Amino acid sequence: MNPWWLGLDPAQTTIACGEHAHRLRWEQGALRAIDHADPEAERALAALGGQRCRCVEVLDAWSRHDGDPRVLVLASRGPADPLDVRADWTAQLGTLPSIPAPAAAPGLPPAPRRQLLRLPARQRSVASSVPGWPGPPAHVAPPPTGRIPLGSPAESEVIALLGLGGGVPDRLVATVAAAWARQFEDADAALDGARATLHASMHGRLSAVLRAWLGRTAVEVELELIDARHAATLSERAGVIRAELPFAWLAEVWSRGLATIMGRFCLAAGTEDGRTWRLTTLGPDLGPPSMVKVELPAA
Amino acid sequence: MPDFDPELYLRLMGEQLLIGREDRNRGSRRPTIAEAAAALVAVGVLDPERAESVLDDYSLAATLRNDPDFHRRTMMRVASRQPGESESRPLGPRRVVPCSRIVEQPQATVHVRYVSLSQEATSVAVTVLPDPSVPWASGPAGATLTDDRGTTVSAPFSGGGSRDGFHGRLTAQRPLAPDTAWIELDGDRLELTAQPSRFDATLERLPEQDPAHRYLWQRIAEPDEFHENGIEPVIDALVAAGTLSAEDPLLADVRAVLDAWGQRGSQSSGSTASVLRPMPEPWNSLLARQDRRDGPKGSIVLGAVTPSFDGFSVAVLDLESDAKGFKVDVEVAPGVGHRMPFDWSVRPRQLAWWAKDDRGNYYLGRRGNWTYTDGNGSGLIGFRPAIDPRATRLDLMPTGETTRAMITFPLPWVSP
Repeated sequence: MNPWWLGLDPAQTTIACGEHAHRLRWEQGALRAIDHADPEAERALAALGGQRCRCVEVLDAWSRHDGDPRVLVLASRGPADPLDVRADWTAQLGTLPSIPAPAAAPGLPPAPRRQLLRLPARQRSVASSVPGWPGPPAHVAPPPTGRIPLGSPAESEVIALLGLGGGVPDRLVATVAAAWARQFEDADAALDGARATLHASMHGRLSAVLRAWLGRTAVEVELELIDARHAATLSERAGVIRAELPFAWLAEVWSRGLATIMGRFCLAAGTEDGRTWRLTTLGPDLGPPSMVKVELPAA
Repeated sequence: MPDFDPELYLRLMGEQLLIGREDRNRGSRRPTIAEAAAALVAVGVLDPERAESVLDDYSLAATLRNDPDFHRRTMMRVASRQPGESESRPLGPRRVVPCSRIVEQPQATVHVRYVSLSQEATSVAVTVLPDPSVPWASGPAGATLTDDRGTTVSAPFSGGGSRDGFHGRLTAQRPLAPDTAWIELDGDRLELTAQPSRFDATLERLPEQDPAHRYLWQRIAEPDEFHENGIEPVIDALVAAGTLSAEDPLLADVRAVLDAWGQRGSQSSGSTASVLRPMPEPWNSLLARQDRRDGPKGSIVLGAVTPSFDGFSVAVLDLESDAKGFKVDVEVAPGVGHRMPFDWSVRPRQLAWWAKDDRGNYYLGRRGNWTYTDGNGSGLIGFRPAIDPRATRLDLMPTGETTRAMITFPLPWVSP
């Protein structure tokens, strides 16, 4: 099986860590604090009463929320839905009590973190150049100017992660989507409490794509989540667009920026090596699907 | 409707809110997602905690997209979770003394309406008419109160109004002797000898009703000037949940009542002309008389306190009637009997304020000036239409989910 992050370019941002500007880099499914040689040692020192550094706080927050479906609720639905990031929201991390247990959306069961740990992203593979789609350039988040009122430390952490620049929040969304796609594949019981959240957050993203693609701002969309082994379809009846897609579409297509390509809607995307992609697409007339093959240049 | 998933229904509304930027510029009115959530909770198809969780999610999501109204809502929600929130206790009996007295002050004329005394609190109800010739930057100042034991305390003003007049209370910073024979207000002595009107306060269980029907009528009757125009999302949600038929003839009644009564209280543009057929009571009599301007002018001091019902207790202190309607000065414990702006709570913890007279006429109240202190609310409920001048008795009926209180008293301006 291919690593879920194939086709996702590295993403990088810079945050204020103490008196320094430090880089956080997402690559091959994992977020790393590349200006800290040994984050584990820093965690150990902090546990003994030393000062926690912001980079490690962000890494810890990431690991607590990389399966949190609330990330999908709060994060952007696409280019037409930017978050209003005007402050370094990581500044809120140190102001609330630490979280002893993995976070989950209120009323939902804990995120399936054990399953997430099995993802290749967690293998801490050696950072290297990965072929794929270009991501946004790294940038330094502006200094703190304001705060979002938050109800809990968990909220604070999610907001801090979504306020990171450089495309890193998009990678968090991709991580969460991939984790839950795996749960759908396995028909995991953890889905029961999160199904409505996942369904709605995919519906919103799909609707945003279809509105932009079809140029119809008020298009009504019905989404049925299907088994990933079944063929995805898109059809229209009485003015309503009906999509039958697996939840994996969010991770495999939308998160990679492949939802529309060459004026066509992408139902599914497959690759063997992360360089050559076979995309099942259809045109705005919603006619029969056609295959589009995309090859990226070798790194 | 076995396939209806109420949480998914709400979340899809939330998605529309985000990607369509719908429901923007709503001010403090409840957004459609909150209207639908409250309706689904009220008819028992969605757990209130789950509904609040969905609202929290999309409020925060909208806040992150710089929606200022959701930002305020999020702030209110967060503030309400902070520890140290005042706990409300049921209202206790108090001595309420009518005291119609004019006190001239350097910058205003103060009309004292009554004095309320209990072990817990002392307050003087006043209407303050500022001297129009004196520049006055803010609202009424407080006063100093003294009892017959020689205790003197300051009493700040709380209430609302404009330069045309402020209606409110001077509340002592610590209680004076409840049995004091007099009170001095900034040195002017008020003899406390008069007696309030007699009254009966009882509770009455509401008749069983279809939950969807009950909620629709309740939603219209809520004294909720901050949360208008919300009935269509309510109807859509109830129909989607299968608890209401889209062809239910009640819907025509509900919409006709809304059209005629309006949701904006005395600012309504509604008129009886738009009602073409008889409405169910109490709406029929309410609509039939809503444009009357023949109400008697007068006031009644009561001091009635209800037993607890549906988690509330209510004190009715006085009533002032004029040609267009009447206002009732009340206290409610807990103060959540009325929602505040940006409070989109789904829990149906609201009181509807009904009244009826002995001639079969109904009246409906809406909140006016309102103050929260120590977990309780106090202020004015403005009723429409005007009291029928032929009525000799009035029942005030603060109404909860299952039970209503009835405070019955004679109307003194009519000879029985």
